[in-house]
Amino acid sequence: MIDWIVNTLKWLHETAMAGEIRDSEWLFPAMETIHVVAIVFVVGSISRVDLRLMGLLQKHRPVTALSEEMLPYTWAGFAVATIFGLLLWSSKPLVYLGITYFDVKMLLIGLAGLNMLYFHFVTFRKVAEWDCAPLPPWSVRIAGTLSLAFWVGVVTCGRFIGFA
Amino acid sequence: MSDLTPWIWSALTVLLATGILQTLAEPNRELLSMAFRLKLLLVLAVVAITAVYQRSVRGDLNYWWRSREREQLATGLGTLSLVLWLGIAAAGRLIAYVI
Repeated sequence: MIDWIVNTLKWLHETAMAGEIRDSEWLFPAMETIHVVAIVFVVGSISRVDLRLMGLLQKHRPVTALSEEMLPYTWAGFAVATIFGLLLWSSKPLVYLGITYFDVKMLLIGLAGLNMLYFHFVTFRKVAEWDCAPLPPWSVRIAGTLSLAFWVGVVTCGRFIGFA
Repeated sequence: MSDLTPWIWSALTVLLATGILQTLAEPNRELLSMAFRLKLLLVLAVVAITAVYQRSVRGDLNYWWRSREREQLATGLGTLSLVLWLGIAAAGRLIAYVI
């Protein structure tokens, strides 16, 4: 199994596309800039909702109204960030997997996703009870705090990949 | 909006402080870089737009809805601000790559 993954990644490394991204003077920086701008949309839109869940921002706006307003930006940003992130990664797939900051970043994105799923399918079912509450219940505040912490971690690790 | 104002200025203060520290650490890398100079100009422009906008709504929350012209101007300022921020992020990232 491991051999198969390693061989696939070596093949990816040798594709013309990966070589082009590696060798071009401007392709990597250009893609990285798009990746960063997309992440700004993801983290910016998510933080607004997280801070509302924590009872720190726009306390008099229903949580559902704010999250519905922000969600398109979150998903559009996430799609663009993922596409360009994969392209950047494809230039040196095995090298990146060997960088701890990269691995921790992926782990944190996974944790942020799990946190979101739990919130969506468990905590959010009773949204009617706290939708308009200036200070939502503990379970909601904890979900918002965790989400914000995970995403700050994602950005921090992402920045440190460049220094590894 | 008013609710978000303190967050904007607090975050900008953190950005300014950490940016000054980085510039003090490597003045040549920053001050001689065209990408850095462009970024500073864009930041000044966006800060001016933000300050003017916030001032205008402080006394009258519906200031930008009082006439059709104001509405159009508000849309233009909002678009310009967003484009400037994208430019700031792009220029900032490019400091590491271009001289």
